[in-house]
Amino acid sequence: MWAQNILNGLTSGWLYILVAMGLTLVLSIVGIVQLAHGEVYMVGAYVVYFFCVVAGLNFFPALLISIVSVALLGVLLERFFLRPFRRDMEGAIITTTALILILQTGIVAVAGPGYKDIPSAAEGVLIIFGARLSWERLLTIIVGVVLVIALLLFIGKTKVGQAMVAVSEDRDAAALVGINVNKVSSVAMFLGCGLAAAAGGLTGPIFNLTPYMGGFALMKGIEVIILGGLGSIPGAIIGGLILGLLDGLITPLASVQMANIIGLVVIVLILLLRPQGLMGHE
Amino acid sequence: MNRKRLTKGLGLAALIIALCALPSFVTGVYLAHVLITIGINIVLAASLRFIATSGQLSLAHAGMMSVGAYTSALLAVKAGLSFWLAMPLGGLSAMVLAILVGIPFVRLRGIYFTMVTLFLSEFIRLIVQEWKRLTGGASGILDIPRPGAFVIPGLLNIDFSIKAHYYYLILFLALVSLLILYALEHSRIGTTLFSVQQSDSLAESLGVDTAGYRILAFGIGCFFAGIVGAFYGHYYTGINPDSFGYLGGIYVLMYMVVGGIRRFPGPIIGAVILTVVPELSSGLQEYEPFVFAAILLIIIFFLREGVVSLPERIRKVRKEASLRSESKV
Amino acid sequence: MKKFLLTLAVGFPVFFLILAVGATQGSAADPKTLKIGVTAPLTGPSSTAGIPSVRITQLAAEWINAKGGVAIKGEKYKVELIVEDEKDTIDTAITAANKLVQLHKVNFMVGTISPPTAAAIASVTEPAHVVRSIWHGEGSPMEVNAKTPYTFRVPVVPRDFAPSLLNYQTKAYPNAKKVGILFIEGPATDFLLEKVKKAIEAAKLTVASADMYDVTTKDFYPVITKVLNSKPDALYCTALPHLMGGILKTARELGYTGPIFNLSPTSPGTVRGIAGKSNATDCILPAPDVDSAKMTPMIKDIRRMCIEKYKECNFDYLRQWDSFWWLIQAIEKAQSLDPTAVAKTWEKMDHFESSAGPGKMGGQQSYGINHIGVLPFAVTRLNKGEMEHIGWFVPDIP
Repeated sequence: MWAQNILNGLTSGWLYILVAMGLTLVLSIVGIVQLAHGEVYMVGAYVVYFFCVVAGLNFFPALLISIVSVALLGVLLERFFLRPFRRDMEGAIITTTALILILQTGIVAVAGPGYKDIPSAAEGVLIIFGARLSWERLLTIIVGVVLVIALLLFIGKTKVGQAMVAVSEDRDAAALVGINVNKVSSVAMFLGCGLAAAAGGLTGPIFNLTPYMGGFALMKGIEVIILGGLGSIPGAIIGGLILGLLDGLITPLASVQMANIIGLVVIVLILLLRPQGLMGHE
Repeated sequence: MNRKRLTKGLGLAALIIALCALPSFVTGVYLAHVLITIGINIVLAASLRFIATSGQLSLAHAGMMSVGAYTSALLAVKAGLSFWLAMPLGGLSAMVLAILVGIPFVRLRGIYFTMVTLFLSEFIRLIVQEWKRLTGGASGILDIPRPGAFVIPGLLNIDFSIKAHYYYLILFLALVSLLILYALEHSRIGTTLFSVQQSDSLAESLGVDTAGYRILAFGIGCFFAGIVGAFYGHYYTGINPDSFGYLGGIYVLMYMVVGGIRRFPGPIIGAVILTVVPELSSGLQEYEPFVFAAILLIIIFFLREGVVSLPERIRKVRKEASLRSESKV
Repeated sequence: MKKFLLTLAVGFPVFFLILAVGATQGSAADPKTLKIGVTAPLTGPSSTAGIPSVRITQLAAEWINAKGGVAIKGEKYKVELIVEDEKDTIDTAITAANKLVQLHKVNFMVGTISPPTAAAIASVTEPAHVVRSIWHGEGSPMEVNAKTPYTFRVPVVPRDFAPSLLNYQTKAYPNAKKVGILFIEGPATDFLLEKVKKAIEAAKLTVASADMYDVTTKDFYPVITKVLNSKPDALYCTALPHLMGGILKTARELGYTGPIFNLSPTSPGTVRGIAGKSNATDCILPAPDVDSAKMTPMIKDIRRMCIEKYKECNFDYLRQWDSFWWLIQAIEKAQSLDPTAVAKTWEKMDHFESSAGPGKMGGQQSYGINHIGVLPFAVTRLNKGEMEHIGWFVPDIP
């Protein structure tokens, strides 16, 4: 029983991590309150839907197309809609809200408001330590882990990655030492939106698709970031796992309502005791 | 009193009189409803701007409305309190919550403070939803009583049996709120808040308790959100946690920015425009959000200072044009 | 001076604009038109059900008009639908209702899916004496009761599906004795829980557990793990289509093999799609498979018209046909456009035509007012990924 609960928690946690990871990149490096990040996640899911269900491709090619195309879309969005508001938070909020409305309504216009589903990439269930896990969830965790490791390697080992860290710590100082902040922002947006699209595409078959699924992703992303700290990737991992485990462990022992409340209390406590998050820098 | 201020004062007075007389000329409950909604949004936008004068951007207004609405509704329904007592208490509870939240969090800056306020709004919604015994949970509270009648024998009988009475109430609340906010902004407090916004380290070095002033601004702004929330509950006679989703707080920000954050009339103009537009474009049904998004983008890209800056802009453009033509001669 | 001009320049045109809007929007009724208002969520998460419901209502209105319209005292009236978007919250729904009642001056309305919204709109329509045919509910007193003499509900709802489904369960799954309950946390859940528990005990079964989940739930693993801890033989849920898909999928993945019943009417196709064919087994839904050969001739007809016009048809489209049609039948029986006369006639009618066969009104005892539709409903079972039409059931609504 414990094994099942813990496994449930870790799985949920990874799904949250994927969303939060992309959001933290955009927030800390691009420097914009990207309220439409949930909608990017949603569009990623719908692109997979179009290529997989409508065009008949296999799941993985569709996922790849989605990640790349949405990442590129993100770069365009950053260049034209977000960059002008880098130092203008109110403006950023307004633009991104407009983007939310446009993306949501656009998807409704193209795909209709109804719920859509994507067939699983892998059928069947496997049993680990007496607990059951569907193959598609395991797949999601594996792909998620691979993406995160790739991201960490990129940040740690490449010049651009290091430049991203510099920009997230102090944008002006980074510019002073010759870093092309605009280019770095584009890269961060590319990665952040790509991750969001991956998250959307991977959760598509597990759950379902609706034009309004973005709000949930945004809120969970913000919760993970508050817990883990803005701009911290390890923080996002820890934050996501904590939130996931709370859901997985408390619900079966108490109730869904209790899990919600305790989740909130934990976040509030962190905010009070360590507002920069568990791993954040102030 | 110079001529400028005299004409300004007369203009305002004329506007107020016209607003008071409006129900006699305009009938139609739907219109009254739109005007009431505008009134609510004006107070929300103006009070949000007051918080912004201290350099903080709050997205918690939806949650604060919720606090005011539920406090007032519960006091009226469960404790039988009169609206005229319950409403101010609604405002006060929002203010107290704001102060309590402000104390630990005003030291957070910029984006982080804003994210926390967004989360606060959602937090309030979830608490209201989960605390079923107190708030009725997802079902909300229905049958909230009308405000008690306000009677001047022989002259006035406002018993809130028709929409126009609610219109008068919100008109009154809006005018009083705007007056208070205007006065505060032009007082020592207002100047201090502005200095905190401009450079808080400088203000601190002069002995200003910047954190204290931020908390004050946040508290006052949220007080008005609470008041309006209370009005909302008694007007619609029914509320539930989803009536105050965090998106509402973002919309209030939009009224403020689209109208223009730098000048006092800005939020008022923004609230009017952005309330009227969705009603006018309701014919488009599921595509209405496109129109709204278009307006947001047009303003934010081409008129960043807001609609209130339009006359200034036009003047500037004209001036530049005339300078250019002069230099050609 | 500038401030003054600015105030005038902005303030008055805006108010005159509003006046103009008011003046032009309300149109005088064409004497031979019957205006019927529709309130539905057209934007926001509920629009998945709202939009198909509006479309089928439009189809039904065209169908009525094609047959010559509504005949009252020798005059033929063309039905004209006026649709307003409820959007997402109670206050926008009340605004929509206000617009229809005050601006367009309708006397008849259909619409509204969410029970709290229906109750809130009642505060507008009941005092204005507008006859309302609502689309959904859970079966609680807040929706239709003696204090809402102008509100009627035609489609069958969770509370009234339960006894029939339990009956079927005792025959098809005789070894299933312990029942687990999983309902959406909502306004009427406590009430529904009470009624369903009674029905379970009346069927000589026992309640193994009762849990509630949030309508925003995406990941069902934690909550289903909890439900399965009590080892139920059968599971009863209330769930929207995507939620039912999630519950079914999760339960099967976690190894549960017992039958799963949905008390909410959800399109079998949607549930199967989201759960995946391999998981879609032993799942029983109080909704028809509209493509089945066992549908009534009328449903087949409606399906054909719907596919012609909207290129698709499923249960979400079909369900609200009768909500609209019974309103028309009541108006025709009353031979009057006066809402009070129509309401009084409607509650006494003991015969209606419906897409599923003949029906009547009920609910005097169980709801306090005879305003509830009693008409056959289809039950479909998902079996190894295929849809099985189990049969037509008639609810007992005293």
